[in-house]
Amino acid sequence: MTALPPIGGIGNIAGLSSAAGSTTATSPTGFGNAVTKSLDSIGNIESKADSLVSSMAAGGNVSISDVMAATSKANLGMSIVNEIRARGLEAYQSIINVQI
Amino acid sequence: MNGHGPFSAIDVSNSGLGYNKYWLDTIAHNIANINTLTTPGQAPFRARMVVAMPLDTNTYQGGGVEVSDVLDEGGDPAMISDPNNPLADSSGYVQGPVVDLASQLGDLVLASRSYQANMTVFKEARDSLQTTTTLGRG
Repeated sequence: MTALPPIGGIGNIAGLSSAAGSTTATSPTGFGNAVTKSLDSIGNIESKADSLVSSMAAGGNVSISDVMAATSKANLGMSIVNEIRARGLEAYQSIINVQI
Repeated sequence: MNGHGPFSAIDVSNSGLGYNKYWLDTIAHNIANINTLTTPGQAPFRARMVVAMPLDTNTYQGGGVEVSDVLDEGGDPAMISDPNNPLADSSGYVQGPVVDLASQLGDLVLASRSYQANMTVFKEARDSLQTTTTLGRG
């Protein structure tokens, strides 16, 4: 009997890394690695939103729409990564529940 | 400006929000100066007009809008006879501002509606993207 090949990693998610301005897309070795990379990209987007929010709270000259755009992007990016994580976990669960 | 990214619709409508906010600020400035008098011979207050310019026209879908220039309104200021005003010249006249309140209020309605329209686009883009993330379920 031949051994099952391991589940390949998901490649870099189009746009996510470029939106954060980082193009460090080396070939991920696994699903966890891919999710971690995506979370790093989201971390960049979130830290941008964070700095805008804190400068607005400090009374800085920041446009409200810029803050809302940044927080919306961070929220959407997080949703995307979370959905991908959930799909990966589903795949894992369906394999782990295979009756032998 | 990120023209191709996953959130480009948000960026584009955000640029519209920024432009229209700038326009609203300018109208507020013009109306605030509706009673600004000057001595004849000096530069009168002139209403400021915002000039729009499309952003990033190299991409097919474009990148939004920005303020390219702010111009002063032309025309002659009204001469008002007010000899007791400390700003009056030797013949007793002061210079009114070059602002038409009616057209400023008309612009105010336009700017406010444009701002709302851009908010609608922003919300629609955000909701559509949010819904798209749920497509993998099921």
